[in-house]
Amino acid sequence: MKKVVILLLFLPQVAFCQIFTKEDSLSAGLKTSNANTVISGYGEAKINMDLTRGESQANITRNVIFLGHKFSDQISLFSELELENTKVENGNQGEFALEQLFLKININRNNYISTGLFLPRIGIINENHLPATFLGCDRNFVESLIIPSTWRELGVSLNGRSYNLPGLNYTLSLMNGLNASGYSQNDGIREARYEGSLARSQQIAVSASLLYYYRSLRMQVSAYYGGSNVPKTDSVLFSRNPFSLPVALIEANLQWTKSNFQTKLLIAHTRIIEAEKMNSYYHTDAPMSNIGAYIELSYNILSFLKPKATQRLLCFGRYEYLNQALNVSENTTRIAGNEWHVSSFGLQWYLLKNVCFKGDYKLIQRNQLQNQELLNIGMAFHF
Amino acid sequence: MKRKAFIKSCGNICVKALVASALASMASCSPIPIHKASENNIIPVPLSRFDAKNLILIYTPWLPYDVLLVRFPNNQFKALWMKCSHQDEALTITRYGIFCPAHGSSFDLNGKALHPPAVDALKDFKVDVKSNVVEIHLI
Repeated sequence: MKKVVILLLFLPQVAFCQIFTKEDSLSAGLKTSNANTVISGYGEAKINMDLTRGESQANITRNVIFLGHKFSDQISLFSELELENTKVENGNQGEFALEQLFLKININRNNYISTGLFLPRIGIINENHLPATFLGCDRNFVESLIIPSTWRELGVSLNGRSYNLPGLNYTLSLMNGLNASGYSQNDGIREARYEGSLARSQQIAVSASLLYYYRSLRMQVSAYYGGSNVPKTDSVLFSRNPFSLPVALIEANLQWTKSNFQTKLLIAHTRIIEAEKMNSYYHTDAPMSNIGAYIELSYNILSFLKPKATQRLLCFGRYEYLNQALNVSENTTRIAGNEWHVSSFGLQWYLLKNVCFKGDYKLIQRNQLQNQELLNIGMAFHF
Repeated sequence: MKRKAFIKSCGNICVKALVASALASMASCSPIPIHKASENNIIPVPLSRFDAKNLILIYTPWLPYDVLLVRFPNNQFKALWMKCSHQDEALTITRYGIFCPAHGSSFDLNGKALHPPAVDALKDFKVDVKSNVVEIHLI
């Protein structure tokens, strides 16, 4: 009888230890209990000295508040609200904008859907644009003028990975097209983005990417093909279909990391397929194609000077080549300075993994234009 | 014109090299063994399941993320929760490290954050070795 009582006393605890209940996983933090809201953010500031013109400017480049909410283990909200240049007033070029606002819906362990205003996986900086993660006080020119980071549009994206090929990730996105009146040699397709604001959705775009990790190598290829909005007034000149006035962008990048050394290599090429038609209609100077590439090397010199240091001091060098008017139509004149050679050197001191000070020197050489030398110092953080 | 042709050919070579190296490496790459766990707070994994690469992915369908069990050369084990410590993204596992496909964070097989934006290490679970079985204690 005594044995039976002891057994009855201990049985529930034995059962509790062996059966994984929902409550157990909740208390262990493995599952979401109720609503779960996260606030985080990032920011950057810099002083830019133009050594050629003898001018200097100090600015809070951006401050971004991230707000995330987990509705359940299947559905989460991601949003980023950005303020550029401290305030928005006439003439100060400040911007107050939503950078992302999407629902992430898990389909299964390996696949999820993002729907809303999201950043397609094109290039390196577009998806991963936290200022403490890129080198130098500014985003590089290739991923600003050829790939218009941060490039966000409204749509839906399938993101996934493969169990059978460890390291393989993929995305396939459908989103609104671009605004044809925004194409130019100076800005490429940058000013043609709708960024989720009153986007015309008669024209659509698709993008896809393959990302693969092998040893210390990260390899990615991505492509974008999409239509541009067609003027309502002239249906003769422009065909009307979801992919009218198409733009095609293809990009490939490699990142190789070995302990304290990292290399990045990226190439991107854009084609505005009916640029001539658009230019004659909008009186713009859009190129038929543009191209950009860069190589970047960095090394943590503290690992050499102070091997036990937890801080990092990265020295880096980057060379960029851009041609904003690789091909232009017969009736379009190339802008002066369409070819860029940019050499950048700098130091990035990480006090913590997510807090750093930056300093860099840039020499910008453009055809038919005077060389420009820039010296920047700045700081960046994310949390 | 020469410069254009040079850039074009460089671009072509880069893309082809990228695709070729990706295909070659994929062909030489075998999947990480997957162990499907039953719904329990202690997951037993037979030592015999380990292959030469010493990694087993513990598939836990009742939880939102998997667990990676790593065997180190000194017969030490680490059980890591495959949720990125930055923004909860499911992590990509290779035999050489753990990576976040969304924001580029990487972790070593001890779970230590190597590259930002992730700052914190991955959550890990207590591991016991009993005869020929490794037990992962989820709570």
